[in-house]
Amino acid sequence: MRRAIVGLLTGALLLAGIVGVRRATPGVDEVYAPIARPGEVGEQVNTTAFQIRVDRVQVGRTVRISDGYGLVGPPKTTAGVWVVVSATVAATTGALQVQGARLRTADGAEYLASSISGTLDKTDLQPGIPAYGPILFEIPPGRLAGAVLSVTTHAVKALDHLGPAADIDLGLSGVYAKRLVDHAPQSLTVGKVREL
Amino acid sequence: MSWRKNLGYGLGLLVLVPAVIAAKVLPWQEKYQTLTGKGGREAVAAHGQPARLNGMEWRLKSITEGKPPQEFARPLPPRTKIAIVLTSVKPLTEQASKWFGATTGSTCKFTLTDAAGRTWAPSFRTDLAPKSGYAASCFALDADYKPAPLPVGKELTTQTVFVVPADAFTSLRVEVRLTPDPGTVRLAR
Amino acid sequence: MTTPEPSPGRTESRRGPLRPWIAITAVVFTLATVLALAWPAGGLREAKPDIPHRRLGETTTGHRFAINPHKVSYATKDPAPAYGDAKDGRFLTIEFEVENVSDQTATVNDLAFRLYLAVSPGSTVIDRFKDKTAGFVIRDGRYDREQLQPGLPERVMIVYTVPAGRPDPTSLTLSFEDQEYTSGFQSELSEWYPGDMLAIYDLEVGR
Repeated sequence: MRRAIVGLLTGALLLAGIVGVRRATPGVDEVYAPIARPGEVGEQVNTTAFQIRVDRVQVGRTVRISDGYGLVGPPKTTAGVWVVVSATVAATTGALQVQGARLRTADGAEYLASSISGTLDKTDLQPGIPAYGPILFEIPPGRLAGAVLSVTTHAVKALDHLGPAADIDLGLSGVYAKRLVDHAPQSLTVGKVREL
Repeated sequence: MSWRKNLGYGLGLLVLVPAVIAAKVLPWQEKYQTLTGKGGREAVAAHGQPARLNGMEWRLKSITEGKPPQEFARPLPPRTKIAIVLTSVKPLTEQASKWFGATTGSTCKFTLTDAAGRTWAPSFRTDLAPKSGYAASCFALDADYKPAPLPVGKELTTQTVFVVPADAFTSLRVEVRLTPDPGTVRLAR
Repeated sequence: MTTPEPSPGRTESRRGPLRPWIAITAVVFTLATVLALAWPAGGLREAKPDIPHRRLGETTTGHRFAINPHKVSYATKDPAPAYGDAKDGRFLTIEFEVENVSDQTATVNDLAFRLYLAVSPGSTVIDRFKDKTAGFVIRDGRYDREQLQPGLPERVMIVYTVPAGRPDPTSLTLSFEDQEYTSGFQSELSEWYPGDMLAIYDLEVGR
């Protein structure tokens, strides 16, 4: 009788163990996710392929692109708000672009940088020649709080498996995000990318 | 169980484990080479020497410093120099000769590498070097600007232009990545 | 004394009791195999309901997009010339309200790949790849954007050419297929794969 109970208990424990391990095992997407280094605004984040520092985060209702010679383009609208992240990026070993710039919101949605050309995420970067410029995002105003900037080298996720990445906390607390949205200027003029 | 019997199993494992690993890894080798642009055969040439790969003879002719662009042109990034690179290639076999005329698959990618292992891709700007009659890539174009086979023994000179940090200029060497038969030619200055 | 011969009868009796087990094992194995194959193939799921027919102005929501076609028109002039160069031909234009209801950025092209078109009279199929001439978000009176960001509804225009030699279209049947972000046959990693047909729109073509 005792033997049977011990046997049953052992079986139940093993089964629970199996269920636990199955639940805790990360999915294939997590296993192959890019290898991200964390950081925050004003801090230099070093990955194996690039270094990045976010210098400033602004929010605006529309953006206008300046060409660097004093000419400013027409305002570009959005159904949400524009988030302009100004950052400095440098390639460390080889030529690349940081095309996989995304705002990851608190609920897990990912907003790839706007396809508007001439921004930092579409700039050819070569080792030893850092560049400073804007990355543009469109996002519903209610999703700004808690958003994190995630940067990889490709816009297509399949090319970034186990690749270099930076996850930068933009310090967007609920109160701060609300203030940014409430006081967002009607128009934000965005400069061109500069090599430093 | 005697130790002899265990030895048999041990030896069996020694053969089986590498075989299983090889069977898992080898199919990925080609993907790795295509995705990373690494791997395949290599030919390394010392200063002044030619390198032979895939039936072609490669030679680094010169790396010279270019003049900064005109006053009103877009300036160079700070603390950088222009590197004008002349390389030559000569097919030694019929197969290599045909490689130059293939319209799909055959590519060559020029890069500069410094002593620290940093790598630069060519600049897209056309105003950084004086116009030359040299090819811009390793393709001989016919009268209709279509790639044509390069006759065996005929030399093709290619000019590529780079913008590199000034501190890298003295230790530069040239690398040419070839496909579809993956390989890398390294040419020292 | 005779040595007992191994009689066929004895062998039979020794095998005898095994037979039911073999049969049971075989049945269980066969059932398990059928189940294992049928389950991932969706064979044991509820049968799909009939695809609903919808009209202009009705919204259909899938896993990636919610669409609401609100204007279908036919023109003999290119309604959206790329880079200022108007193409020759006859054009069918569909305007939608589109919301990306997924959690990842998409493009108008991602939507266009899942729209199947046939025009009448003549039941001509319009090739969703070959006959598409443009697809973009209409914003600021310009046609230079094509991203659809999660939770941000946009006005979208997709333009197709009507194949030569076919009568001018008066009605359009537009089928909208779902997409799901899941692991597929080619890779265990998640990607967007086509899903069920969500709705068939029966639309009049305006002039």
